[in-house]
Amino acid sequence: VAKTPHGSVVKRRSKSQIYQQSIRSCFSVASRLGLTPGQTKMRLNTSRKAPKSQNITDKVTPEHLALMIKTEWQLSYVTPLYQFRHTQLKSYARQLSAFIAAEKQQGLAVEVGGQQNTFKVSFSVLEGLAETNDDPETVLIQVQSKPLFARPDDPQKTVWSGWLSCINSNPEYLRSLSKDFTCLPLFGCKGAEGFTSLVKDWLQRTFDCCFGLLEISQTSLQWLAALWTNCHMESNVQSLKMHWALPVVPPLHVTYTVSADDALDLWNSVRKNSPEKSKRTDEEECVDIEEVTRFMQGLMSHFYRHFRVDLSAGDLTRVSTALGSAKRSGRIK
Amino acid sequence: MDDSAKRLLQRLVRRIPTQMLRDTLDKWERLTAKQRAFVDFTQSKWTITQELLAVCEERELNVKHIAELEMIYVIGNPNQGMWHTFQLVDAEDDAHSLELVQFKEQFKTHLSELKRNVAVKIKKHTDEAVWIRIAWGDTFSRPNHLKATYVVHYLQTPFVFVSGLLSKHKPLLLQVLTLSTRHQGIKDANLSGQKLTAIRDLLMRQYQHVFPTKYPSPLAERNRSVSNLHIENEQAEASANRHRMAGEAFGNGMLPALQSAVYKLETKFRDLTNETMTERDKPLRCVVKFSSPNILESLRHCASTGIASTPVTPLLSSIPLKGRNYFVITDNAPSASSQMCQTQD
Repeated sequence: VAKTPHGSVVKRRSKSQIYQQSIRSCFSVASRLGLTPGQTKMRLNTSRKAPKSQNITDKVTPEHLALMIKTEWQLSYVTPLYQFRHTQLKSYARQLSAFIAAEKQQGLAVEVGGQQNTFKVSFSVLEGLAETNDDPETVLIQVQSKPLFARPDDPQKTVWSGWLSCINSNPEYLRSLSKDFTCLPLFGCKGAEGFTSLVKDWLQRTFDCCFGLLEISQTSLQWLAALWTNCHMESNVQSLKMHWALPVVPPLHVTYTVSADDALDLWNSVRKNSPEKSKRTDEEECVDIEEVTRFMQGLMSHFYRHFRVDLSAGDLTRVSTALGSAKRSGRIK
Repeated sequence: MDDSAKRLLQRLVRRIPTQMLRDTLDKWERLTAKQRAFVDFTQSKWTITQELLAVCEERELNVKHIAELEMIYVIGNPNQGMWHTFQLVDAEDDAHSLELVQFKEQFKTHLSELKRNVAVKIKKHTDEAVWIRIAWGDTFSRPNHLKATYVVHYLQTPFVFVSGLLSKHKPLLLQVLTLSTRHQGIKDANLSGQKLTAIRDLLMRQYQHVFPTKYPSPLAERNRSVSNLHIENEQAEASANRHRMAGEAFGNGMLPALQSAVYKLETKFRDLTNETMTERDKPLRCVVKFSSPNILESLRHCASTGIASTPVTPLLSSIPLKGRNYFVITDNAPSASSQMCQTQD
């Protein structure tokens, strides 16, 4: 497997920028996996670039940033969209609105706030998340509701949000697609399940695409554990919390929380002694999967020394730090 | 009925599932059979509340009676909320001969001496447990029956279980308990959980801790080749050993349903493959929490399947042995260091 120094986890100075950094690391990981599961095996990198400075708040508006962070998204992968145009967003909003209204009339249970609500759909471009020039811009979809007899100045409430995104995709892959296709392989959503299926349904019918649930693999979770710990150099991640599930009867859950300072010391000691160090130049800080594995092994051996329980017999199901959390089921924050 | 009685009754009807409400009202014995028949339990909870309020008014019941109803419900359904365990220490000479009547008198006296406006109810349950319900007030306010503290104590044992206690009332309650049970001190037993019955059973060693003399062996296959036979024999022996040691550590048969255990670790990192980290002077600080519908069964299964290496580490076997589920482990503690020595091969 060739080494492709791919995902740039961007370095941040302020807290909001750190969140942005964690989003990118998550999205990059997930986005790459979104490029059709069949191909992921060949595309999984063995090394990633460590953080480098960049000014991101220039690229993403504070309002957009506030929408994305501190909220848990359920991830799915999407196949390329046929004849999707970033210029047609207003039309798409109208069409989706009409679709939802029609489905409601047919009696589909979209009971958010009762029968009386009217729903308004908006499509917008969330600029700034795309990394390379080839990445299409992220599209944000929101469903807002207002009770039927509300006053004109009553605020609209967002009952469902979702977005389609593409960050740091493989340029070769993008170029191999025909011009009619737009690649936005990562879909994230939060809100009532009823809306989620309606939106997915409409997208599938309109753009001839397919959705699939994106699970975050053990390896990806381990990457996040290591990369987020690495971020502790720049910003306080407070602690590294890992959830494991052991396959016994009844199932045993282990929550292993390590103080961030100590986790960082372990991480640095792994990197300092790693044979991969010689392959790094000063300019390109690369993190190799061997280092991630050794970091996890260090944590597991400390656990074993005390409890004589082998965590690798179970599954890592969730990783979280102050920067965010990622779950095996494809939920990310 | 005054406001506090009405509010408490409303709260109880909301909280208690309908079927259980019916049973609890029967046990309460404050309403006549006719009055109980008047309440239509097939209706909505709101309707039930209104009907109950009406019959309680008829009987001129007050908040103390409603508190009694709540107590009956909690005694019958103790596995809710969060229970914390305390252990009485340094018994005085007459502690062992303490009788219920004495204890009740002493408890009420001491409590009223130290705090005004407190409503106390003491009840002895069939299984020798003494249940105490305390509604706290102060000089300026009446007892708050919506946030009562429950205490369970088995006379002749040093254990006390408490639920719903605010930290501001804690020192007072502990002092009163110590005095009225004729002890000199009380300490945190580091055992807590949602299921009172589980933590009680764990402490009282009421669960089966038998050592069976026979262990099931793997099923014999029909056409076994010679090499398989050797492997199987080897495996059977190893498996039997694991099962035995798992049983020795955690017990055999049904285990009390303890649901979590927390370990706060502040020990040095030691791994020969990572010299830098091993040489570090500071301890690695971490917190480990085990949770499951029954952690003792889960851990026993870990040991018997080999996920946990046997012999089982004292850190884990301490849960049933010492009857606690909160541990702080440092390198300096004598028990911890002996554990460290054992696990270091």
